[in-house]
Amino acid sequence: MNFAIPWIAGAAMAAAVAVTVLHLLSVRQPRVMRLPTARFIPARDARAVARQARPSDRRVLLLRVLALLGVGGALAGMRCGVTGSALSPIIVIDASRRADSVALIAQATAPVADRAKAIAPTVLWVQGVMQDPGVAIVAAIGEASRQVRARPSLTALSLTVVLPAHVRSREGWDAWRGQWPARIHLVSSEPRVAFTAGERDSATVPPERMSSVRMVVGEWRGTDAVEAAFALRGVLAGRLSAPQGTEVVVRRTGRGPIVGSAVLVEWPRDGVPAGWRTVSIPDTVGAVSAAGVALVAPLVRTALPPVLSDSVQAIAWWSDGVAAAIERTSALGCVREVALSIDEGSDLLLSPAADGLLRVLRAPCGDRRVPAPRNEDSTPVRAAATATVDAEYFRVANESVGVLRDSWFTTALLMLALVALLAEAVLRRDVIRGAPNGVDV
Amino acid sequence: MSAEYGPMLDALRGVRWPARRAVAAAATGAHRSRQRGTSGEFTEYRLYRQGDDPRALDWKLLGRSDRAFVRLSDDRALLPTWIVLDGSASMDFPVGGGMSKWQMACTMAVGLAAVAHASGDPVGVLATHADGLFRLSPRTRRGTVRDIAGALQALQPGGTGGLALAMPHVPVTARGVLLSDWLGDHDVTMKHAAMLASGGAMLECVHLVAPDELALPDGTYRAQDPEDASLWRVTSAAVREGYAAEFGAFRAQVCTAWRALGAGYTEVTTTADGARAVRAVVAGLAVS
Repeated sequence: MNFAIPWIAGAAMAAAVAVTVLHLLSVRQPRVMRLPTARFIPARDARAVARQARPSDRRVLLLRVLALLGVGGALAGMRCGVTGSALSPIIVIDASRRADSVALIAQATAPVADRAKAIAPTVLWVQGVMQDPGVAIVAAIGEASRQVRARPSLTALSLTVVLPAHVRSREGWDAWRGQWPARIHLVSSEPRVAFTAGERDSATVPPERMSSVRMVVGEWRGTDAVEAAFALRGVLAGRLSAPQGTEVVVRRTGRGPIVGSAVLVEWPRDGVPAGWRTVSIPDTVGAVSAAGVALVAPLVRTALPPVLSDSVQAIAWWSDGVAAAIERTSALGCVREVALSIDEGSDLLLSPAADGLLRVLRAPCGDRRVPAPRNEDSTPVRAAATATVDAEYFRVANESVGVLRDSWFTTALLMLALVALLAEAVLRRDVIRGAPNGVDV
Repeated sequence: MSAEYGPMLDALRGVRWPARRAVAAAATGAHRSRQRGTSGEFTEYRLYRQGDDPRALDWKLLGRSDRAFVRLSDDRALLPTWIVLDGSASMDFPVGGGMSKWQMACTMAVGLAAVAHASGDPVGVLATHADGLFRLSPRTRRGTVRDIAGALQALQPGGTGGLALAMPHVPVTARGVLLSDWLGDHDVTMKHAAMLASGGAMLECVHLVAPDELALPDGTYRAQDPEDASLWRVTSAAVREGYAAEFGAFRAQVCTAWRALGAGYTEVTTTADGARAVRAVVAGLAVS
């Protein structure tokens, strides 16, 4: 049981106490009864007699206190069933992980289970958390606003987000992170892998997915910059006889399907993949961005991408926003087309600035991912030192917090008070009627 | 006359209220007089003595026996009846719960007046009330009972004036009916009553008691005497028996005192039927 406006409940309690005290005090002054034969009553200690309360007095007192508490509870927005807690944990999980709901919920609720004032957590299954966890913050804010309206007694909220190790983008997360002015507890949705410190720093792509890359070139030349770039990053590059079934195949020349390749990277030497529109006047855009890393170089744009759609998505962009590489979804996997012309012998792709581009090209289909936020991430949010958010943060200014959604409960309290008042009046009238003649009432 | 007295007066029709002893010489009435006269109701012969009225001689007997006898007969006389009511504040009880002692006294006064008036006796009323003393001289004319009822209805009980204020107005040759709860100046009233009784007055004491006075109510109250603000007691279950004993002893004492004067004593509760109470007073019985 709790109250939306506790001071009204306190005032009602104080009034009930006052009524009780006055009632007890009034008992010490018995009612006056005119009795001509009063002289025949044996004299006794009037104070000792007057302290004896009558049973009807107690019933009247009980009804009066009940009426006061009922009115006070109704006006104060008394709520039952919220168990008096003030903390509402919100847990956000990607909707695609519903199959693992039991384990994920158990993992996410463990940190809040021992909080004494916490009520049952609210689990939100949100689409797109694995694409960008920023949507989790958006959903949590909406849920928090709903809860503070539905539960006037709510005073704090906490947020737990279940995330995989990597996500498609952190842009939304970084943009929305400031809207949740408290620490967000992040729980991994995958079995924890024991990374070393060095591995964690370079674990932009999960090691288990960096199995092999098979290069398909029409004419082997040892000066190919793309080959050199992949070779530098420790993959099997330049081996025409690479084992079948590898995930990534990079083709510099030629067309047509390649059997057994889940990921096919079409990177023509002239920088104009099939289906791209050749630019009549090449321009020098100057930079390509992929996976959050910008490669700044005197690159020349010779082709423009096709129309993007759900099955055709950009994975690398020129500095003016035009796609420099796209990914097409195919039946077997995906085809990535790169519209970058790299001069032979160039060391451009060997620099760390090209890591982002090469990372997205080697990643599994649809897995152009960046590291998910972590609990130890530094955050610009000043209030993030606290584990919970004050519910007032989500309440709209001038919002009437006393408005109760469960209006029947308020009505029930008012009816209870009314019934108590009526019963008190009836009982008092019966007491008056039952009083002997001559009693001043 | 108030219509509420109608059933009672109908019930009292035919009731006679003879004097309990011979009354003094007065105009011809219904009561046996101490005076012997020459009325038609023969009683005995007595030898003629000098000074007797020759008209009382029985001439036939004188002719047969040559002795002079005088015919004697009982005389009948009227008995003026004074009905004295106590209108002190203690009589205004209970309030708002049935008939009060004052209302019962008025009812009985009307009933007794009707009975006495039916015998041809002059009936007068003395009543103390909140504003002093009301006096209505004895009369026998028609409408007397109605006048008495109307006059009593206009009176309001109150104050502390008991019957002692009215007792000096009662003559010794009359019959006085005293209706009171005897919670006021009982001792002073008894002194006046003793003088009246020694002078030959016939007194009837009607002790009015309310049922609420016979037993204390449940609960705790501050019982306040309506005539004395300084007199109050606290009621409780522990004092109920003591109160009943004290009040019972008081009523017994009052009864004994009046009986000792040769007066009639009747205790009437306010819940009693008016006609039955009047019959009890006439017959000298107790009514509850």
